[in-house]
Amino acid sequence: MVTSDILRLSLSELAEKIAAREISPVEALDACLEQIEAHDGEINAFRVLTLERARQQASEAHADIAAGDYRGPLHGVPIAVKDLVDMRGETTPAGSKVLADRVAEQDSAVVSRLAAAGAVIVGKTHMPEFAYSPGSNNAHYGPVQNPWNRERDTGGSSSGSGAAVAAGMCFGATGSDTGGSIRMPSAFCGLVGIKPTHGLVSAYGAQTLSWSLDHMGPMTRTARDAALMLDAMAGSDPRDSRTRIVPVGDFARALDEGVEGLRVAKIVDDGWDDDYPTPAVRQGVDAGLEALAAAGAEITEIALPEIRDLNTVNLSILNIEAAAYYEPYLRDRWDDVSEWTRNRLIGAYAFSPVDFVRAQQARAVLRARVEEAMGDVDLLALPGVPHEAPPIGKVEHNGRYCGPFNALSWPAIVVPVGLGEHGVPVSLQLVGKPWQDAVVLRAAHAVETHGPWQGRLSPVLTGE
Amino acid sequence: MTLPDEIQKRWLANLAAAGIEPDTATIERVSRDVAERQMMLRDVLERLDCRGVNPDYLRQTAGKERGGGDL
Repeated sequence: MVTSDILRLSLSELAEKIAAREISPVEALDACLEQIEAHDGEINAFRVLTLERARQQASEAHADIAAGDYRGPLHGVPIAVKDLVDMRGETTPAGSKVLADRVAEQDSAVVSRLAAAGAVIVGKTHMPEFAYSPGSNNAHYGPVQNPWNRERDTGGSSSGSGAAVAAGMCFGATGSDTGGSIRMPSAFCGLVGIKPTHGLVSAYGAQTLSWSLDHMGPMTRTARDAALMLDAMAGSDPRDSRTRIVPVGDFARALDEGVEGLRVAKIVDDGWDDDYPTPAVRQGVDAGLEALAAAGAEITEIALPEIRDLNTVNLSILNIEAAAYYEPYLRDRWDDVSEWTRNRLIGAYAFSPVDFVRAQQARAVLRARVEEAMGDVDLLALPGVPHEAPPIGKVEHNGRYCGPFNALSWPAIVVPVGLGEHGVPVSLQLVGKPWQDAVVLRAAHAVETHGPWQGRLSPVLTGE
Repeated sequence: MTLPDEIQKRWLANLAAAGIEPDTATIERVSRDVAERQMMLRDVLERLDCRGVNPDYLRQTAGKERGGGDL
């Protein structure tokens, strides 16, 4: 199979061909490296390639599979990881200068779980400093181009992961999400990105932005791919007390259960009163809901103005927790932290200690209100981002539909539903109740199956 | 939007107590954003009656009662 044909496969399609020994893991890795060589000089998705480890993993996977020792759907599949998770022997700058020299002594949970599943870790992807931006802006390492329109931003903070998957430089990537950092770049890059329920995926060995709001999760081209990665990534971890001992089902197998009888509520009052979402985003959301209806879901409407307040609460708590974590660098290495990041972090010091507790009280009150309003509704539906990808490096109102669900800790997924202005994707976001991660994946799969997107690929992958 | 005096004083005092000393130009540049963030949270807190509410920190991140397992 020629390189371009390999790269256009989804993760699950590649996995089938690897299992059938039609494509070797070495061949798949070489195809990705060729794509990186051809395009990443401009796109800037990767901070570093972990070539020695990747080649060893690919060779071992090839030998194991040839010997009949097949570990499962990630075995031999090239994956990228966001540059805030530790990989033994590699640095973890997390987009910063101040952490640039710290070499990890062991793998993070995310990396070790993917490696145990047989994945080939291609490299570590760019991100804004400390993951504290909804855009790809980074004064130290530069912004990341969107593979759908190279003059447009990928969004942040899992910027490089979004670009790498959309450009076919790997078949899936990991991201982290504190206020939308998996979902925003997934939305802008035409990917499926899931922020799982808080506590489903261990964040051990991941650089912190906000202890109570950080989530790890996958970014892929399809819901099935996301489910396969989440199958490998999920599970309790005694090294991360935020994780919970819950059955981490077979997310990929659950996709086939469909959405018949699920109640999906479109949020018709989100608390904002402005021109957003843009017309293309509105059309995309409606197209996604039509797809869910075609698949057998019941569509209703819900007024949920608490969304706006939850976003405010999320931003406030995030700001204070991030400042608490990064204070030593503000104090001792002021000039080595970018102006963008400094300006955001120092704002936290205007809050009082009581403000922090009151924000947590508000979080509890708003959670109760949302639970009551939802009743027997299974899923909330709203845009992933209220607009198309802005010009590169620019930050708009990217996170206002994402942050609320970090504050709630509920599972939320974005799935592409069309192209908007400037040829960049728009997305539908589906939010489930806690630990109903399989339900949001099932719904995203139904949107893909019955919706307008139909597996579109970026121009970097199609060569158009 | 202007930062109220008492919050401006608290902000600078908290920064100084943490050993963080931004220059005057930085303070002036950031103060509008800070004022907006303060106003947004204050608006939420004033509209919601949170008095006496248990912030329930464990539940915030665990969803324990929904099958989240033991802590």
